Amino acid sequence: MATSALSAHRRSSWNGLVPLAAWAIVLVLLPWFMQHVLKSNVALATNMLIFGIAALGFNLLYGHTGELSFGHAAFIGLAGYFAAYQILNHGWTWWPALGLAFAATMLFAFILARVIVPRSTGIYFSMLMLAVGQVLLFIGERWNAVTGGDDGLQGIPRPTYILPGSPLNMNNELHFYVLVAVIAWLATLFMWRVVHSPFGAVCHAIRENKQRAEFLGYNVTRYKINAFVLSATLPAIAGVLLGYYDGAVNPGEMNWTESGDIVMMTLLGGAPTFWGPILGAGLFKFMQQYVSNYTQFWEGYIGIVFVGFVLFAPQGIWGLAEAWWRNMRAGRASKTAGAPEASAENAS
Amino acid sequence: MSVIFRTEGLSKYFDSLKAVDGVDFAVEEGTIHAIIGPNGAGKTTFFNMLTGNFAPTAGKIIFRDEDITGLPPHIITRKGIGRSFQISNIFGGLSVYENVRVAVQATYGDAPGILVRPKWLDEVDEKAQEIIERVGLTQFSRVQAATLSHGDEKRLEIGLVIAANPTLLLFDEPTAGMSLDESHQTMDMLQDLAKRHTIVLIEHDMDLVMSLSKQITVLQNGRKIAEGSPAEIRGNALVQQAYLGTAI
Repeated sequence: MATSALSAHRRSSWNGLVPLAAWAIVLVLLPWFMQHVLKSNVALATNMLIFGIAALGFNLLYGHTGELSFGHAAFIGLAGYFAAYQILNHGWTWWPALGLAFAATMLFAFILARVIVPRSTGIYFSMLMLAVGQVLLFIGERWNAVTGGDDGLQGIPRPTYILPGSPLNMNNELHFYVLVAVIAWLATLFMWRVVHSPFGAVCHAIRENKQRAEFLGYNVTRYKINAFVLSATLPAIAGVLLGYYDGAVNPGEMNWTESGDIVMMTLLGGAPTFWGPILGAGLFKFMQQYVSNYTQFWEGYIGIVFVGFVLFAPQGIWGLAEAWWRNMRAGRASKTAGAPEASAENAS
Repeated sequence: MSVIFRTEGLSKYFDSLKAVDGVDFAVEEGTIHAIIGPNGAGKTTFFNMLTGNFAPTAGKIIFRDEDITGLPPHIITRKGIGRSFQISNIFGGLSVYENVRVAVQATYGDAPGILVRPKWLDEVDEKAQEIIERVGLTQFSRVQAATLSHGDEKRLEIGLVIAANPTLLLFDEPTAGMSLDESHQTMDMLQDLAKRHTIVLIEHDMDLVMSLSKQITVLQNGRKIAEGSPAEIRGNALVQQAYLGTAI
């Protein structure tokens, strides 16, 4: 009986039907919620989702595999530049621009992974990734002919045509939101599968104990390289979306402070959880907009919140909610059955 | 009985320190073979070479007639050598079930299973349940591994090691830090494992060594000073000298 219950649990966690359906509902309701409850606007929701996608990808490497990259904004910026360059200089449209930017960024990530991952781990890996981001920032600032220097590449028009027969016009913020929301949902589906696949199980094992993973017969370096490359997929897509969102790309997108923001979003929401990065990105972008309405020192206030979470709740907001939910259920179960059960399901 | 595993002149030098020095060693299939020796004799260094943690300075390691000297740990594991460590080496943040599942999965190759759910996952589930039962942790299946008692952690680690169904098991002080009760349980488990696997163990508990092993190899200052049955080792003058003051 225990076997079948666990198998069923295993199957459902791979499919993720319930959480992904709930996420779709959240995506549908979010614009209304932003406008009518938070008295904000749809564009902010779009911005939250773009960074949610990026942080979700980043967290495959950090929260799930245990390597902290301080340079993932580089993938956002790089993909943005590839797309913007083709759009502005060669009149490319949405699909080819997205395809090229994605492919080129992934090639870069693949080469980078092969060079960096086998040679460094822990703080050295973090610093190397930071350095990679800064090198790209420098190139972006100086290579005027291609990158537009400090000003970046400006005047990216929103796509007016996405699918045959689609009535969407991306100049309408709600229409653009729909596009980003669909991509965000697909990205989440993809990452859900990755995290709950046999591959994801090995990532978790590597995060917990590299040596034991190796002594089970896993090639830890190869798994880490693959996790690194997969973790760059979503930031690359987010980078193209961000270019369209802002109508411009600029070198600052690749700066280490941007990478740091992604780290902060993830820690705030909960690095050891699946949904934490998305929640964290949403809250971060919301606070950024709202606190900055009241004070120019908004970064300081966000910093205080951040420090509080790192010190007192390293599992983040989502982790706290999960723990609370588990305790509720365990409390109810022990009242009825008297059997204590501490589930340690990770990243659920 | 045939020799399943042997070393020829195995040596490891750290600068001028000869941690392990020219050790010839052979294990017969289906036996428990103990390695003993005073602290600093080179026992763990010897183990670390066998499992590929570091490459030997000189000498050869042969497993089932194949030279495995200098191969990385994950390859050596896949050839059928499992290792349990001195300090329990498990995945603390994962549940007992997740621990064993990922260990069983290692025997199914590297299919990522991201886009399509692999059919063998159900089989992995079943085998994981079996192993959890074999090491007596069924009731803790969903408990986070880091919260287990010391003895249960050790049992979980043994579960992880046998999940790969290795031919040869290397145990580095399986009873270190255990209570008398836990030690006895571990002894029973080792005897049980010996029915299916060949075992090499490093151990300080002489009662355990003498009652379990068929062969004993004694190391001192990196060299092999004696080898033989428990009775022979007990009566060996050199060994008594090495353990000066310690009755064995």
